[in-house]
Amino acid sequence: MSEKIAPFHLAILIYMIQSGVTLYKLPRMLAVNFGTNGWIMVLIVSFVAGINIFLISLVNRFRKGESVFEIMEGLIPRKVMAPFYILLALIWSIFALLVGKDYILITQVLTFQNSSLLLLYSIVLILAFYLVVKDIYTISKTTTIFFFLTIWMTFLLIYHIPYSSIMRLTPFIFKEGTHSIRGLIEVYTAFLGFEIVLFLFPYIDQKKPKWFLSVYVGHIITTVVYTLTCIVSFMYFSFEQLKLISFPVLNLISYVEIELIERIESLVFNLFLMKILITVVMYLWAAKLLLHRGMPSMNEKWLAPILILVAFFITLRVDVVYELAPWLLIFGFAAAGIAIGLPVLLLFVLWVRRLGRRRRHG
Amino acid sequence: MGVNRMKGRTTKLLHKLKELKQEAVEKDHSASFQKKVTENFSGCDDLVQRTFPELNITIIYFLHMVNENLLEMDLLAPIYHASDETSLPFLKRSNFHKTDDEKKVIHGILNGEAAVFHWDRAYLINISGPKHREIQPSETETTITGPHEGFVESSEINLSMIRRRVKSPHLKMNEIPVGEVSKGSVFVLHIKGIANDEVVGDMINRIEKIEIDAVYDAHMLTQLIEDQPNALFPQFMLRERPDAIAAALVEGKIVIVVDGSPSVIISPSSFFDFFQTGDDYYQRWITGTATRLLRFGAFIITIGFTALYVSVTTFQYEMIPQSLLTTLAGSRSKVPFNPLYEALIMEITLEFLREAGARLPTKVGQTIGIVGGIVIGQAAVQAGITSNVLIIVVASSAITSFVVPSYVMSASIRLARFGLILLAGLLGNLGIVIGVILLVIHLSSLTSAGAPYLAPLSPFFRKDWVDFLLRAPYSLMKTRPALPRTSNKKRKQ
Repeated sequence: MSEKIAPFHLAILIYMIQSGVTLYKLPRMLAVNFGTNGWIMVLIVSFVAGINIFLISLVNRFRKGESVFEIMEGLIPRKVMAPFYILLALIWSIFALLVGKDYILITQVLTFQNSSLLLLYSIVLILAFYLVVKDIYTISKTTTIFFFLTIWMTFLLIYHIPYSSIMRLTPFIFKEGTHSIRGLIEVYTAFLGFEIVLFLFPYIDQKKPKWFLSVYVGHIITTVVYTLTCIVSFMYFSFEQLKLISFPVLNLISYVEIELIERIESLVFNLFLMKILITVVMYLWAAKLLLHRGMPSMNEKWLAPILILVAFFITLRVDVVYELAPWLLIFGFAAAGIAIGLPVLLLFVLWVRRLGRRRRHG
Repeated sequence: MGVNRMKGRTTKLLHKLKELKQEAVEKDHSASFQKKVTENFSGCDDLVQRTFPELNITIIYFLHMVNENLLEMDLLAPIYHASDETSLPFLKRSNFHKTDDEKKVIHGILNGEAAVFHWDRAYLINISGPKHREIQPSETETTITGPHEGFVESSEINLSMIRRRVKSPHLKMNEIPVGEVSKGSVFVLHIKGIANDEVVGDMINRIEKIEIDAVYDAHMLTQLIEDQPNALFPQFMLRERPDAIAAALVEGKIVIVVDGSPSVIISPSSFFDFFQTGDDYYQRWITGTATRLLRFGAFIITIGFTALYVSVTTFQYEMIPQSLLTTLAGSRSKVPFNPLYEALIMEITLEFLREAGARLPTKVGQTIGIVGGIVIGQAAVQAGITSNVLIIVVASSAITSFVVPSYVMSASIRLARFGLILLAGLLGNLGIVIGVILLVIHLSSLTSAGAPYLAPLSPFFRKDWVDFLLRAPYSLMKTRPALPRTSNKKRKQ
């Protein structure tokens, strides 16, 4: 069996990395930052992220089979790049653990008010460790199963359509929002995850020449899920209500009643752990690759534990939601910067190397 | 002239002496070869050794390993009809194989052949015919429609049943000895041109590398050749029906027949193969599909229902509809234990009942099972040890566990269920999700003869979905499954 990731699985992987707890807060973020009909910004921000993905596709086109590391080290020696790799690994591993902590804090508020945060958090980290030490092919297979176990939740939105009203959208577009750059970047962080594909190049089954389209497909799935969720939220809640509810999507799910089960949100929100786990694992996996490249002498089996432990201790003091918010903001911005800057940097390096080759040959 | 006559007489005498010496040496060698063979069987009182001195023939065999009719007709009758030792034409027949290899003679006797010693030569004749069970329906794989015959312990009969169903010269068979002490045989079958040669080679290699005293059953062999022997789930399916084996061969899979075992190994196998039965294919496709979906539903119920009960009654009472809430609260009000202990007590009791029912003689076992189930269940509720809702939950889980066709898989699922119950008792719905995540990661990392265990779900093989959750019409099953990695994808060739 080919041990490479097929395009179908790549699309699912991209969607699962991107989709996270931000979905639960997204309608409020849009309402606060962009005002009425703020859901339109999902499409605009998605388009911007699409341009970012296009830059990555250009890297793929011009790399001629080289990996990201080979591209960089073709111009800058490995020893010089090592601190950059280690810094990147650290940022991504901290970001990954913050995403996991965000989920656990919400879970604690919902169900385990008296339980130790450390216990719950440790369980998630153990799960992440159990998966991140596997090879990327196993991670992608696991992701596909998680996708099938979670995608049905999107259809719960159908339940709210009879109770939604187009009048609640209001005829105004982008009124009463803060319209800040910060808000824009916050929404942009909801789409982060596609940049991991830079490190997946050597592991993808590239028999089909248009395999990169699957990255767009994954991104489109994310956009569709976000857009539908936000539209329904804007139509279900009033605009003022939406600005005040911390997790509107959680409230949406709590109104779903099926004959046999009520208050399904406790089950649905817990299933979300699968999506969070993939986000955490993939960022850790990329961080592992970076750390291995930056410190090749380190034994590979210690990379994941070291990254997890270092990030764990750095984020140890953060144990309530309002303390976590600024951390997520800072590291979210950093991750967004990496997502935008890294492909640009790679394209620049490729261009410089191409110039150098032209000069050498003639 | 007198001197010449004396010379001639002396030469004749010397020649005669030489012949006598040669004869003595041959007798001695023959006696020593036979002695070497029989020495290996010293202490075997069931070994028969018959000597015919006038013919200088000794025959050695195990009486209970040979076919008595063949012994009389092919071996003893010609011996009785031979007049002297110089005319033994029957030794030249094609069924008498001459050999001077001591190990071969010993191996032949152990396999039911008879060894015939004549001077320095030994001959083996195959008159094997040990007693064995007659062909009967399989007890573990019952079917409503389709063929009923099942494999038996004799590999010869099993191979004949397979060959009757796959009448192709491309059906190849490799015999491999396994077991340092038992010297058993394992047969690897595949259809050349359909099965992947690398996978065949890999399976043969795995079997050849086995170092063990004896292999008694195919279930034992699978644990010696599996990709991950410490995994919770079995990686090779075992079937007891020749029609299932024939179907596997035609799909490009490899089958392994173990002498002495009525189970035959299929390699590779995916997790979903363990939920398929012959009835799926012999019934109409709509019925087959419905039954298969029912089986997957049963799997979800058996693995998660009790855990969900524990989670809901411990942490998430708000999930229960209001109409059911009062009933449940009322039935649980008399129970002194928390739902986790209550569920574990009942699940373990059910496991005891199940195991006891399997060990007892059939008639007694059935009675104990029914009485035990009813009495224990009713008594437990009246004593206030459990609630009656839990009895229903546990009983449903138990019944649905037997819907899974494979006993080995069903046992693994039961173990996984206990893990989920514990996690549900500790962390509620989050615990169940954590348990599912662990199971999915574990299953995703498994392989069967190098092929991914969760195919065709993950990796996603679109064309194989015609025979996955659904059993599509035969007109839609145009290609062979991707799991065996056959290069000959199109069916009907």
